[in-house]
Amino acid sequence: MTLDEALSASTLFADLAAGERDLLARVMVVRSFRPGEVLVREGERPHPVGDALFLVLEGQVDVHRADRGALGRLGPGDFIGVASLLDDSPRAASCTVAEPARIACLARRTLDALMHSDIRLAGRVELALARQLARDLRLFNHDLDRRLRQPPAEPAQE
Amino acid sequence: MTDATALDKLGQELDPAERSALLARMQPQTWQAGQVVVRQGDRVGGLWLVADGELEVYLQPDDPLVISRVGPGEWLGEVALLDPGPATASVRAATPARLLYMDPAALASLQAEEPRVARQVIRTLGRTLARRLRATSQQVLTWQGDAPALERPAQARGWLSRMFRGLFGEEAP
Repeated sequence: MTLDEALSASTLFADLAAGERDLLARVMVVRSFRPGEVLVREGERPHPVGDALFLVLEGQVDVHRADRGALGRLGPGDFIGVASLLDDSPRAASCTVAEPARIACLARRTLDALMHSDIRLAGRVELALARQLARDLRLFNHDLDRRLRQPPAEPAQE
Repeated sequence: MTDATALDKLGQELDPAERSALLARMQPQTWQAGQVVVRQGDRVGGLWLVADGELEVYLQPDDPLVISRVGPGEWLGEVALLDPGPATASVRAATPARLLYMDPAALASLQAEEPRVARQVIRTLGRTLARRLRATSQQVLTWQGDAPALERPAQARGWLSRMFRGLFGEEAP
């Protein structure tokens, strides 16, 4: 998956014009990662300068938490760190590269620099991040509400 | 809390002129304890900043389950503003409250005429959303009723996937 393909296919940046996605692609850095490299460490606060939004292009990344073990695996097209680009809460899980990966990184400092060179694009990127969180919270509240209204489901017949 | 102090959480980046530009686009509202500001399902599109008082965000108007409390300097209405649609939760005043309301047209004019201020507002809303997602996710994770969903990932995929993104800022596979 190329960076252009991943950005165009994403819900996150669907509202950006094609030209804006191109500009964004130009300031993202694609890096290769080896298995075992840690992208995000549970409990650490996002670094104010060095932190980044990650977009997986190739390979696999494991998500795990000390108290719950493995939580799942992320692959091409998945983002890591949407919320953390906007707030400074400690990371709730670790993300470790599981298979050789190519990952596009949008550093926080790049987004800040973009603010000075292209305030409208930077604003639209931040708006896109916030919109994604709003969509998530809407679905989340909807699910929570539905679950509250229903008795617990019977175990599924596999 | 004065209206200007309520804006403090926007950070120190707004200068006095920018604060005035923001305040000029907001209408003060007074609510009595117990009054419902927003009812789940309502079509709302504006944004509220709490200047004084405490409000409760809750699900199920008939049998309220409070999912968060919001106080001075905090915002309400950000989900419906950023992802237009019916309100996802109800809000009522727990104490007498004073709110500053900004309607969608005022926000649009802010974006057009004061992009720096609009950007600060959006950033603050993003942080608010991130915090609410984490808080709600954590609440659900510690909830006993959640265990079956975690043991049945196939059925719970959509649910889990959102919980993932809520907790960790990313989507489950």
